[in-house]
Amino acid sequence: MLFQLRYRGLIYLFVILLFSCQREGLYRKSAVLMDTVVTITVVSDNPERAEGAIDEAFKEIKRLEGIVNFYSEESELSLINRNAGIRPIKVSEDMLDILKKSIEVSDLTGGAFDVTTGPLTRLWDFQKGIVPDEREIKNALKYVNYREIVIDERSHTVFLKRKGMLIDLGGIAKGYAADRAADILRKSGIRSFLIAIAGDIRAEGLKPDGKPWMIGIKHPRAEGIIATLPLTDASISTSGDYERFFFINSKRYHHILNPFTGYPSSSTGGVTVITDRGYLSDSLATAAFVLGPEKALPMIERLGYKAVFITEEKKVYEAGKIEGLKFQRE
Amino acid sequence: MRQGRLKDLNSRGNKILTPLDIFLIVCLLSISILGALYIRMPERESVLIKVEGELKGVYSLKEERIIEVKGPLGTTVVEIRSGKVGVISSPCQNKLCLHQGFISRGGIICLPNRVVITIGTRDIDAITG
Amino acid sequence: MQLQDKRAIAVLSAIAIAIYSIEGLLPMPFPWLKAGFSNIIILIAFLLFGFRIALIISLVRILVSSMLIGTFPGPAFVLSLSGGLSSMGGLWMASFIPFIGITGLSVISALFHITGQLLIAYWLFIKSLEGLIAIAPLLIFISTITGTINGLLAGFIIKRITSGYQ
Repeated sequence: MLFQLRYRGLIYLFVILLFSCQREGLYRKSAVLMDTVVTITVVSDNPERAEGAIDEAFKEIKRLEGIVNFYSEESELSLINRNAGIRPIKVSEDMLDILKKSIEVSDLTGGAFDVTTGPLTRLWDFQKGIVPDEREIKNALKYVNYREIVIDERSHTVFLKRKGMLIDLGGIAKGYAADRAADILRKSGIRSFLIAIAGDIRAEGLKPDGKPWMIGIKHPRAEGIIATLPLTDASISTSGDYERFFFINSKRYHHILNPFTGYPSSSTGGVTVITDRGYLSDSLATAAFVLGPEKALPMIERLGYKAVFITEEKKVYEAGKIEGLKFQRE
Repeated sequence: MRQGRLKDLNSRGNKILTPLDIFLIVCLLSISILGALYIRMPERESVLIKVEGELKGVYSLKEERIIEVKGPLGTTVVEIRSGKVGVISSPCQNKLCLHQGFISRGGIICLPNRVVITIGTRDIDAITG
Repeated sequence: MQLQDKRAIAVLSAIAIAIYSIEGLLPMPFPWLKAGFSNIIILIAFLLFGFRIALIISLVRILVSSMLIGTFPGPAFVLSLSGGLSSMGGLWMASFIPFIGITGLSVISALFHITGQLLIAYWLFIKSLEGLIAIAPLLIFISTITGTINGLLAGFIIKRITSGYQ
């Protein structure tokens, strides 16, 4: 009696309403790559294709990781480093490309970004939290000079002029990998996606609801987010003193080393940089944090990019106008 | 007197279930299910914590962490673990928020300590920094 | 007020309080979830004795049970009262809708109950629109289900009671 035939129509309507919302959706996967969490989100109407494309992108990031890993003996980078001052090493197209881009950024920033800070990276141990001896730092600084990377494009070789030089691509590799992963997704026919390799993010296209991707900027001193901004067809990266650090006598020693002094940069808080390429955002963020807001922001503005510096005291300095940047209500 | 009222009732012809009732129930169920789908569809990745209506923090549901939230009664401890959020310690008496366990959508409200935890109404897709 | 009415109020309030107390002991998937079976009594009272008596029973039920449980006069009591009052308002308004059945009355009353509670919770305690919106669909869903069950039960009980008089 309760469910007579004439009510069935209503039940059908109800079921149809339930299933009518199958359409373009967001597909998201995470993996641990490059010693961090990589999350790729794509917009697609086909779950299999979305998942396949994401897996391909992961594979590309993993492949690059094998080439640029500073800590792995098997990586191409280690081969170059081991042969510093000994002989030129024949390298892959990828290595050649990332080194050329690194040197390009070093030139742009007057050496504030420098991939030859490897000897300094070796010296500073942020897990043990010990400040290295001043003489050791002085000594390591002698081997920091990106101009002593010799690239021979014809023979595809890389040579570090002096023994003791070490390249560390930590300040550019993640942004570069995001660019390459983006290429793979585009090749798979994905038009809208978000690649986040830790804090190095590449955003293209729009979400299924027609809105841009929303990016949160991590609070430099507290848990959570300090600001949000919409992003599309751009790359964003942040460098800050809160990622890896230790305290001695309430002085913060963090992992962003100044290639001129050998000590952590005197900036506080963090800087977020928006450019059109992942490798640029990543490396410029590092350089900007080394230089500090007074020098870095005019430089970034001159280059036509955008940045926001948020210091320890929550002072905010902007370069360029970041559309839709919203600070969280305190 | 009683007889009269009952006659009234019968003359009004109150049925247990009329087509209008069924229509109403179906509408409400559809609205609530569609509402739930709409709310969780675009964004489910961030956890918002508010105390007395003030936003205290936005966290990624993907990052495991323990957050201490200060409310008027004391500290409510919130944990984010394997894509879910839950309250693991609360100064309130009834501990309803604790019993709700870990959730991956919707929200947890601890009324006595004025703590509101919601998942993903502010859509943050990724965090830089 | 007639003696008969007073007796009805006393008896039905007692039943409602008893049902409410027993319900509190039943295990539920969510601790804050209540099927609200005591509303069956309110619904029956409304249909048999009218709005005024149902309202009195509802208020007595809320007052007495909150004192028994010990929530009086805390936030839980305020929420309970606001839910009770708005559900009575919903019931009263719904009774003017033509072609509505007992189940429909119950569903609308349940919906008003939860809406009233939510709005008061929002206004007094939470002040978080996100929280409200996030939790609303689930609450509407559950209140529709419990409203339907209560309405059907109330309907069957009323038919049972009144059939003797026909």
